Amino acid sequence: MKPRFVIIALVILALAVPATMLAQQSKAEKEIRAVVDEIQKGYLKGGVEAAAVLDKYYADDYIGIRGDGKVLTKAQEMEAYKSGAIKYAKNEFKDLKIRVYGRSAVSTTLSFSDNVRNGKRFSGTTRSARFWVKQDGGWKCVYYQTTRVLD
Amino acid sequence: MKPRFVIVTLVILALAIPAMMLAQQSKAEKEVQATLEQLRQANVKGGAEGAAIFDKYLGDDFLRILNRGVYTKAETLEAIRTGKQHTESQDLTDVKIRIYGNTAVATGVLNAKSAGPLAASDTLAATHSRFTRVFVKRGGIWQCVLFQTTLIAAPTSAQATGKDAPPSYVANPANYKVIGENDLFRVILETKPVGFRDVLHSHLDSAVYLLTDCHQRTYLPDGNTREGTREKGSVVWQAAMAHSTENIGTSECVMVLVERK
Repeated sequence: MKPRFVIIALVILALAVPATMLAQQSKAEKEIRAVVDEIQKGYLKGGVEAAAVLDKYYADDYIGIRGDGKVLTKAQEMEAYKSGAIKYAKNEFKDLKIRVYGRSAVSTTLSFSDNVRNGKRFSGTTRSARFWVKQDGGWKCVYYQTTRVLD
Repeated sequence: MKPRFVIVTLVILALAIPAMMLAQQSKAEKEVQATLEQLRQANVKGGAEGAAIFDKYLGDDFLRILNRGVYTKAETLEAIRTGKQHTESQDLTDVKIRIYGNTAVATGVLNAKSAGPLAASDTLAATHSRFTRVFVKRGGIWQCVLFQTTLIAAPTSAQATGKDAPPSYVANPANYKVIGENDLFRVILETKPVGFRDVLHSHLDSAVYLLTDCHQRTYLPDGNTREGTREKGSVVWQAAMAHSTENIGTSECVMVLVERK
């Protein structure tokens, strides 16, 4: 094999590998962005529709930490939506940032929510993070934590 | 190759592979647990020593999410190194670690007594929070890329706490005066001199109108504290609760509370 050919092949590889990784990163970000959007819409719909969205995108070992420090499993959160214990009047998010680590990812958002949980109303700003794992070809949320932002 | 030999080999492999995966998982959990302990100690040590540990175990893309804001690795190191952040004690309980290949999630309860920009208050306060750390394995080290805390609400509800603590105008008659009431509402004038801290008391659901700028420190029944400034002319809504407040501003603090009975 001629040395010039080897050098050209190496240069092409050196350019192609990071480009492929970047493309994969970008694809993963787009996929997660779409899932976050669907979950947020699901929250607003509430009831069985919300529960169905959570069932689709939450992993079986999902753990959620709410703004008051309470911990909910996937089953508990789905039940809370189905029974109407959680109802959203408003849920707007911005500043969505996604970082991909191979087959895992972290997303963070700043949200303004107006919701009622077990008869208690919360209206305010929260900062939330989700940890994602790619399972069965799709992104599943395995952890969610929200922190109320002080005025 | 004899069929019996092939079957035996396959059985051994079928048993060995899950066992190896479990061993790796367990090894990773131990490593993450050890890293959590390093980070806990770094908080308590503080200064240059604490900052060096954080430098090693925090990823360059690290984010710390607290109720007071979001902090980067550089901001965290700066607060620790300069001593602006001071942690008197910290312990982790109910820790659960889940491994997903080269990433891991650790959750648990964090009990801390600390002060500074990375704590719940600039003054020393005890807090009880749920925490999560996300780790990524890089160069043989589990580096933390996300740390988030959420304060755990007091075990008693605001209403229940309100039952235990006396109303503001009973606990502090000199500073909370009822200036009008009917069957539905009670109107209270609150006046607090500079440096004055009132006695623990309760409020019903209320709207508050600020007659002056007020810079206050609030002491909650669970031991948490928080500070905040409200501007003259602003209106604040507050759910029924109990607290004690201190005027830490430079001028008298005056407001009108309209409590719904």
